[in-house]
This record gives sequence, structure tokens and C-alpha cells, in this order.
Amino acid sequence: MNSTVDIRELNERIKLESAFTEIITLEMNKVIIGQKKLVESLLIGLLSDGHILLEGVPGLAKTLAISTLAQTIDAGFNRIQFTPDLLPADIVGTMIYSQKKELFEVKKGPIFTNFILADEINRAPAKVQSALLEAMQEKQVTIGDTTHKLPIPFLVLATQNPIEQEGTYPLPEAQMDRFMLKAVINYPLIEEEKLIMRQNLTKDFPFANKVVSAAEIVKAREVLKEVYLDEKIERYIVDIVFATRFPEQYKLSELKEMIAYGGSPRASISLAKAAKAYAFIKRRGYVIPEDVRAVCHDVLRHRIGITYQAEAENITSVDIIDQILNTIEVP
Amino acid sequence: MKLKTLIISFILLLTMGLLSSSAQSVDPVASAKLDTTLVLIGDHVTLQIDVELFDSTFVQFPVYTDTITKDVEILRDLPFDTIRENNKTVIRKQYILTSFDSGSYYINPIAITLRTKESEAQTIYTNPLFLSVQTIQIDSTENRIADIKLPLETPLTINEFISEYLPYLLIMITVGILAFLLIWLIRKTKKQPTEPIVEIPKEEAHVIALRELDALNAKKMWQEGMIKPFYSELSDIIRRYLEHRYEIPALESSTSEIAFITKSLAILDKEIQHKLMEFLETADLVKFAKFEPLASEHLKFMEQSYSFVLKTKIEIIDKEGTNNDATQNKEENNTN
Repeated sequence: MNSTVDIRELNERIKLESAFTEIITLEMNKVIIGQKKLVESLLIGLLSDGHILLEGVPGLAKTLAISTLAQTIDAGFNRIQFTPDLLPADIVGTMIYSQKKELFEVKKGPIFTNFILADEINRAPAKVQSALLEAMQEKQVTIGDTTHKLPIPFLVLATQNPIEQEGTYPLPEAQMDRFMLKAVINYPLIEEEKLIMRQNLTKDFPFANKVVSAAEIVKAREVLKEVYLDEKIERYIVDIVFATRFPEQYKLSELKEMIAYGGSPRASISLAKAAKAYAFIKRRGYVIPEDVRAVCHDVLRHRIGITYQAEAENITSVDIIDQILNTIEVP
Repeated sequence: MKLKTLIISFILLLTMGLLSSSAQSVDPVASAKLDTTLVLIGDHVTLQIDVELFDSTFVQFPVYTDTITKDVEILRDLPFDTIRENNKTVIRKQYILTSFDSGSYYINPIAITLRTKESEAQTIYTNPLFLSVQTIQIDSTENRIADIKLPLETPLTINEFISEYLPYLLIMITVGILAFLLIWLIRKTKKQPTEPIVEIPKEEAHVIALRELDALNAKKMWQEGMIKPFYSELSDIIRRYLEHRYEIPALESSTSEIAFITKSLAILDKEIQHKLMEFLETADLVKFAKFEPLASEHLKFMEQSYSFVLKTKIEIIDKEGTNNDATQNKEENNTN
């Protein structure tokens, strides 16, 4: 059977092509202790061309994780600290008058790079967020009357913390949807924390080496598209997303009152892409239900709106996803 | 005689004239008195100030705020009273006093200012006063410390009960109903458990599984080239059996999750666990990776599935100690 041969060939190819993910993971593990899930989420976003929103309380190495990932890749990296007085021009750039040439020249902003760390994205007002999110969606920026393409790969890694909400500008749902993944970082384990403490007290803080080029990432993204996604898995993904919209059709009537709005078609696309990327990281040429389940929380948690009733009963979008995954039959 | 009479008349007239002139120039007099000088603590005493005047002089009494002297308090300041007697005028002012401290109090002469028409001021003083305030003498031998007397108990009538307690009763009933409704509402809408609910059929798990395996065998799917549907159905039968037999959410779990659950619960022996995982992983490859095992493997997995069900089915031990499976037991019951 040709198809069988194709999958085996693809499997072998992916085993070769995905080897760099292990090297990136090793390099990142030199700096970031624990947070295996976070490293996986960052790689999924990197490989599936999806922007990532990291959420966690201060001090959990959100910023360090992102800057370390950027260090491992031979590509441009800029960090923008979002503050309430930040302006769109501070991100995308502006036109500056040159007295020498007697004309306006484009001064490109820090967004013109491969990796952007948008630190504390919810500290800047909506117009700044919009400027960034437009660039994320269109992969281009218009300054004056000229449109400038952003470099490839272009990845935005934004952070926000769930506390200190006073004086922040929470991202609207439509803008949240632009982020392919929303990863939540939790506290490290006791042993991990001991290592973190020890590492930070040593003279030389470990440094991640550049182990992969931007071109290799672009190539890996092309290979990733070939990862086989069976019709049964497609159905499984669609069932999960539909269950967020019409829970009563999936024997989940009790969730109807808890969900204000469900996942968009972008959620289905992102879930499929992320599942493929996860299979790629696991060095497989095909997607299995485990891959979908592994990325489901990160893809859907910011795409399900919960009602006031759910909030009153302390039900989160993660609880809803858990219930959906525990109810829908695995193919 | 005439002269004598004239002289006597002159002396009388002079005396009268002197008397009358002395009467015209009499000084005003101020006096003060208490209606009693001995009171019990807290009792009221009236202080009366009289000023006797013989012409139209303005009288100005002192202004007191609350005490007339230390520890003697003014309770009321009564209005003036003017009394005219013969050719004199008495201006009377009264105060109601009291004291809450026992002892003897000396009230200083009270200064009264008089002002004539020519605006000449003159101050006159009343006489000083003494007030003795006594406490109540308690005979400690007779008046011993006693407990507070309890309120008298009177029988409660229905009308009293209704007027006294009915509103409270109604409030309690309303609160009770509201609390019941609230609890009922919370229970109705309370957070659903995220753990999947495993529905267990009435029939024994292995009976269903064996029947489904027989049905699948009869379909001859793999023989007709329907490899993927064959493995899908076979893996579904095994997952359903696991769910019914061990009450684990196998249908909603992935292969690795099933492996984790069965291992952590230690419900299968090592060999059976290994074979089960081998089958489920192969089925995943067939279902999701277009993998096609050899024909001999289809047979092997079919036989393994039968063997898995038979080896793991529930066995019931009867009273004589012989092992019977649940089906046999059920059949015997039916015969009896």
C-alpha cells in the first residue's frame, strides 16, 4: 500500500527533521528548570506559527523562558515592556523628518524582528494592543503609506499575570483569539525550586546556545504540514470544539448555562495545528488522540467564554474543557 | 401756753419731717433664704432672693449657669416676681436647687447690682446661707444584699401569643422556606464532577463483549479488506469491556491514559497488560497512521481479544467452592 509506505517514510523523515526540538529542549532545560509543559507549549507555538500568551504569577520565569527560546534560535529578538504610556508608534515605528534629505523617512519599530517578547501585554492601552495584534494577524505593518512585511518567522510571545488587575487593560476576547495558545504556568515542585535557587546563587548563570537557525524553523514548519491527521482525529477535534458551542448535543446539557460562547473555527484550526506540532515534537508522523488532548487546554482555555453563573460557582473554562474531554469518546 | 403748743407742734412736725425724709432715703435691702436647710441627697430646695426697693431702681441678679456653688446645682431658674407693699417694691427671684453629694454647703452672699435712673450702679449683698445635704442611712443589719427578683410569671393567653410571637413565627417560616429553596437551587445547579460517569449495563461485561466479538467475527471485515473499520470496532469492544468490567472511563481515554489507569490501579497482570497495550497501540496505528498489519496479526489480535475477555471476566464462587462464571450462575438461577 502506497499510503502505508508514505506514513512510514514520513515518520522517518519527521524523526530526522524534529531532532532539533530535542536539542532546543535540552538547551532550554539548562536555563529553565522544570516547566516541561511550558517548554513544549513554546515549541508548539514556534513550529505551528502561532503566537503564545503566557499567564502566571510574577517570578515564574515567563520572560526568562521566552528569551531563552529566542537565544537558542539564530534569529532576531526584541523585548517590549508594555506600559500605560506606550504608543503604537513605539512598537510599529513612525515617519521621521530628515533635514539632510528633506523628506520623511521610516523609522522601523522593535516589531521588525523574528521574536517579540511583549512583556505584560495587559499594561498597555487598547490602541497599542491593537497595533501589535494587527501585526500578529497580518504579518505586516503599515507606516505612513507604505506596508512593510514582517520577517519570517515572526512570533509574538506575550506575558501577563493574573493578579494586579488594577490599572490594566485586559485583552478583549477577539484579540485573545489571535493567540494560538494560552499557556498557564504554575509554581515549580520542591526539588525544582531547590535547583532554581542553587542555580541562581552560582557565579555563572547558565546560558543557552544558539542551536538552530530561523531557516530551519521555516523548513520544519513545512514538514509539519505533512504530519498525517486522520479523518477520525479531525472528527474528534470538531466534536470537542462543537461541544463548547452546543454542549447539549454531547450529553453535556449542564454546561449550557455555564458557557457564554464557544470556540470559533479558528479554535478548530489551532487545535489541529497544535496537535500536529505536538506529534512532531514527539517525533511522530501522524496525530493520535493523545496529541489533541495534550494541547486542548492551551488552545481552548482563552476561547471559551464563561457565564456569570459559572463564575459564581467557581467553574473555569479549564473545568469545562475537562468535562468535555471526559465525555466525548476518543476515536 | 400757745407758745408751748406751738413748740410741741414744731418738734412733731420736724420729727415727722425727719422721719419722712429718712423714710424717703432708706437703702435697698437684699435677702436670701432657703425653704429648708436640711435635705436628703437629690432633694429639691427653693432659694428665694428678695430685694426691697423704695424707688424705681433697676435690679440686676447674677447670672448662673448650672451651679450656685460647688456641688449645689441649679435645676430650674424661675421667673421674677414683683410685689408692691405700701411704698416699697419687692423683687423676688427663685431658684430650685439640689445636690447629689452629702455635706454642708456654704452659699456666699449673692451680689445684686442696682442701677438708678442716673445710671449710678450700686451692689448690695444678700445674707450667706447654709445647706446641709444628708445621705440615706442604710441599716446594713436589716437590709442584706438580696438577689434580683425574677419577673412574675403570668399565664400566656392565645391572643397574647399571637400578638407577641406570630410575626416572629412567620419570619422564621419564611426564612426556612427561603433557605430550603436556596439549598435546593444550589444542589440543582452545583458544580458537576469533572470525572466521567461510567454507565454500567445490567448485563455482565464479558457477556456483552463476547457477543460483540462474535458479531464482529461474523462480519468478516478484515477478510474483505476493511482493516481500519475492523480495528476501530475491535478496539471499541475492548474499551467498552474495560469500562463496564473495571468501571474506568476507557471509552473517553486515550491509549496512554488507559495504560496509566490500568497500571496505577493494578487491575491486570503484567502479561495481559502488555498484550492489551500492544493491541491498542497497533489499533491506533491502523486507525490514525494508515498502518496495515499482516493478516496473521488480525487473527492474533482477534484471538487475544477473546482470551483477554475470558481471562479477566468476573468469576463467582459458589458455596461448594467451585468457580462459575457469571453467565453460568445466571443461567442456573433462571432454571431454578
